[in-house]
Amino acid sequence: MYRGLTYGRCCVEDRIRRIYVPMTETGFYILLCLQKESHGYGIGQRISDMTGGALIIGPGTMYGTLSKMEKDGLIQFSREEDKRKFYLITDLGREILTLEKQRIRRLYKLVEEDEAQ
Amino acid sequence: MSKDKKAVLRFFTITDYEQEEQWLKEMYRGGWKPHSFVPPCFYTFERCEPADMVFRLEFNDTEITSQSDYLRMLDDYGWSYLFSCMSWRYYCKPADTKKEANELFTDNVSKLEMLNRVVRRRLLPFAVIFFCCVLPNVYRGFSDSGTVIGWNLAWTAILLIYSIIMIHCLLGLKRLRIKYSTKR
Repeated sequence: MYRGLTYGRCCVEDRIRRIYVPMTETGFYILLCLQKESHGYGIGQRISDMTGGALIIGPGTMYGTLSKMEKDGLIQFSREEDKRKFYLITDLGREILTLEKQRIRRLYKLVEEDEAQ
Repeated sequence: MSKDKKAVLRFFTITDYEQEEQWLKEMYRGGWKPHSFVPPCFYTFERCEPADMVFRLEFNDTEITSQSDYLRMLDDYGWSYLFSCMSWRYYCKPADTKKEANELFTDNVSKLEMLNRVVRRRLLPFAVIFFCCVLPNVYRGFSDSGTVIGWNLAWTAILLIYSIIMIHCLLGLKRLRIKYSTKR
């Protein structure tokens, strides 16, 4: 029973890893922002500030991505205020974000080495 | 109808939503704000101050009353919800100089997801009716000598109209798929 449960959980997490690593640019920024609790529009504003207005995420894309990430257990609903839903990253979300950061670091290192040649 | 309201007939297929958005934008620029839509082609407009507004249609088969958080988010982004009809929601907002700020969906993944929902919920049932109802009736009409000629003609006319719309939708679908698959 216990082994079965552990196996089941591993399978789910492997599937999530396959889906989210590598991550879309939209997904990466949203997950990065949700290390601090925020709501959809707030996340959009922060991403716009972080990228100097270069990346704008529309409300349809934002809502769809948040819903999917919540369903997949990467983020969790924390509270509601004035009909705005607030979310926060979960442990699984942090794990995925770490994997994605490692992937980007590897890429960055390769780019730097290539530039140096 | 009063001077401040007018009805307009215009037909768009399910893969023409971008053209419909553009047409609504032009109507608003001419001082007419969309008020309602009754399928297949009846629009009513209200007189308004001409302005540069963008319109976006979203195919969303979730009950809007259960998405008050989404409506709140749209409102935060500056979008106004106008009305919905057969799972198509109509939104508008004042045009922004930044192209992306005028979009509900800003990446190709989410654009394709909406398109796939349209295919599953609208185009596939439309095709099923075509193959399971229209085509068999036309075939039966011509193979059975006892059928009334009027019925044959009616079914043939339906087949013709259906085929034209179907081909138009499939070409539209192909065009949108190519457009959303383009890497930016």
